[in-house]
Amino acid sequence: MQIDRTISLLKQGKHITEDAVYALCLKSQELLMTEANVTHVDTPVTICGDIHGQLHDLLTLFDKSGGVEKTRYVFLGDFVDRGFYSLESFLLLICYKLKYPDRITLIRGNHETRQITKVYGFYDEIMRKYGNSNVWRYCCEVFDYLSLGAIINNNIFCVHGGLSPDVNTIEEIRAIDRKQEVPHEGAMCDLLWSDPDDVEKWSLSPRGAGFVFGQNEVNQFLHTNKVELIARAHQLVMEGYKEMFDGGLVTVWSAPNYCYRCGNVAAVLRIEDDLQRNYTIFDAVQPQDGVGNAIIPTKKSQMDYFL
Amino acid sequence: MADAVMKDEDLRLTDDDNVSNNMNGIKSEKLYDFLQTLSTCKTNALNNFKETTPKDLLPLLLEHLLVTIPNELFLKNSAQDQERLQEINSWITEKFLKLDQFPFTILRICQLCYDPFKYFKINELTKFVNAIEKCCVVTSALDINDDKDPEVKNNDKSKNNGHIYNGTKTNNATDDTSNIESGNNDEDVSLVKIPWIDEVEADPEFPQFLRDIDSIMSVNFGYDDGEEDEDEDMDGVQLSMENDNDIMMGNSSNVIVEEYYENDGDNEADLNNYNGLAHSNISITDKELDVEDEADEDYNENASDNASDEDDDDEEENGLESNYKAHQEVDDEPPVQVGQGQRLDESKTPRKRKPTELDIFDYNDNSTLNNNNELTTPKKHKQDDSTLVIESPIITTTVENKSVSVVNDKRDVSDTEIHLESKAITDKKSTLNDTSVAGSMVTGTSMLYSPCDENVVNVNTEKIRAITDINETSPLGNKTR
Repeated sequence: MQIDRTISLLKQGKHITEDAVYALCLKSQELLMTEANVTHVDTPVTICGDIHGQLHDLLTLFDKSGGVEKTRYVFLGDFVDRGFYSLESFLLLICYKLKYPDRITLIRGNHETRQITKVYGFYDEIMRKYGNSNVWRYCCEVFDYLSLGAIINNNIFCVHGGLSPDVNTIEEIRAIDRKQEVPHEGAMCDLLWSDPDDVEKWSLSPRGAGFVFGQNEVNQFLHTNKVELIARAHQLVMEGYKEMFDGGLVTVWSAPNYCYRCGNVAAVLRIEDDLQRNYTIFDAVQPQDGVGNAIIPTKKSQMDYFL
Repeated sequence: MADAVMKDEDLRLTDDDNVSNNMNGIKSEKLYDFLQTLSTCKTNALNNFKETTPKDLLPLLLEHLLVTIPNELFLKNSAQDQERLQEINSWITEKFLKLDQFPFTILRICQLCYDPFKYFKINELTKFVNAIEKCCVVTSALDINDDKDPEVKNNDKSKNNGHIYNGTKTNNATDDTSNIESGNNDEDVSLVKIPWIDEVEADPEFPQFLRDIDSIMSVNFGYDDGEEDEDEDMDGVQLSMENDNDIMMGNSSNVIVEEYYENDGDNEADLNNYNGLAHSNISITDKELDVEDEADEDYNENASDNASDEDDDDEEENGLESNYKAHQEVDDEPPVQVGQGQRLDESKTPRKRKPTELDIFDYNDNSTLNNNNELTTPKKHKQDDSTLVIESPIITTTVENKSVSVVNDKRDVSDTEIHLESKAITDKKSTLNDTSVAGSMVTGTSMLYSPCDENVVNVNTEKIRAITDINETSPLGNKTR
């Protein structure tokens, strides 16, 4: 397993052999297995939101935020789907995790499941690139081992979606058996699917999974668990980040020009040792048509229905 | 070079009062030397582990980790941290030292131990222990001799996946042999590969066959390779482009591609002609078809269909035409049926393909254009054609019965110019045409609008909105509480 070589190939968006992907997935499972459901992270740390297969923007993210050599990162999930480089993005994160186990924390998002990736692009991408679904299956195995949340310095709770009516304390999250496909309901599902909004109490989510929660729920959670911030992703924010409920909750979104057309900027949130919050905003990489690493592989992939 | 690095280290360390000597506080000179070499190694640092054995290195490293680092380097040493370090120590001893192996994260462990203060403040022993714990609690060992290249090579691919990559390889061999040596010639392959190609067994004579075809074709039809060679200087780009074409060739792997290129020009011309007349006079369409029927037109039609993306009328006509053809076959000419069936399928293909964002924009433009000119968009016709199950004569008959009145209007046009045998069919066709128009007007929306489109529009207006998954109702949707 040549991690450095793999990383450099991935950065160029090149094909990695099935065997290499398998080896990566196996090793990363080993690392993830030992992590708690809510894994501990030290400051200073950079919190990153959804990536969604936008490899070029992920590289920009590392570039703008100091790089993995110098900075600790927490990724809040949704590495795959929608973008054209889901596999490369996810493998790159895994590679970094293997090379710097203390620097990268990966949290599961609602897209890190078999059901969702089948529908929203990751599965199709693998089929297009490999002609079979083996690589997709390896990756899904890794998804099952991803942590459900992270806690930074016992002060900031990180999760992909939001809170759950079934979860009052972080200890209750630690009791979940997370090594499974995300269920359709219950605490594990809600953590990955819920959204904050201006509502009085727990409400049904328009997504069909998870709940919508408001300031009351957030305040209660913060108080019960003695944390001061909930950092989450899961929703597109045009400005890259959005603080809600008097700064008790923040949404961080790290996929600029989401789906290559939303025109949003992206942000990462750096938490300093004194828990000061610094946001770094970055823009999407401009697509270069006709160049080898064109972001949207339109012209060429259109060919596939000629034959 | 090594001297320069040493100087840097010395300089930095003299600044740091908390390190007792210039060996980063490392007691063992041997360990220091090793870690120092390791830290100066930019590439292939793992090779250093070939020159030492776990039995030599790990005890020194563990002692440094367990005693020197917490007691002499960091300021505060709590019992809790010491305990955790003990656990790490016994873990490494049990799982790796006794088996004479390195953990696969050994490089990172060494980096952290070599210079903890590069990463942590002097009073952050707990953070250091957190980090080292994450690196140490693994089970699999380092495999230094594993030098399998993760990059997908042409050779691998042709070996594993059959002929598709043979095409790439052989063609490059004729064009530019140096490409293969450099190993750069499969750039961007990942974006172009066509899955179903894999299902075909590779023929032993295939490479030779391909080479023949390729050499003929690249001479006769001047593939894009040539153009790009002239246009672009950047090697990578050029190579990737070439490869695309190569793969195309490899895929097609037979005369089909040839046909396509051969007829492409004519076809476009035909189509223009054809589109102009299409709506004014159906019979001309029919005549043309009869003429073309002789030629091998399956691919002509489809190729032009795809090629002229900007004109939706093409698609419409093709749809109707194939529709019509299908009837003809069912009724009159069984022998050609296979070909026609194929053609039907082919003409559907673009519709099946999942529209990408760019496509959607294209289609939007087109459909608005068409909406201005005519009452219905071609897409609607197409959609309805397919729902009518064109191949089945039974269904068609029912449709005909239902809308006899409509048929009469069209028949006037048809009767005059159409030769006798296809008259009945033309009737059916016009019937179909009309019903589908009606149908599409009822439906009102083009099927080619992806539902996410509306979402995107909304997203731009609303600041925060669940666009990510708002339409992801599917798998987790039926939750009841």
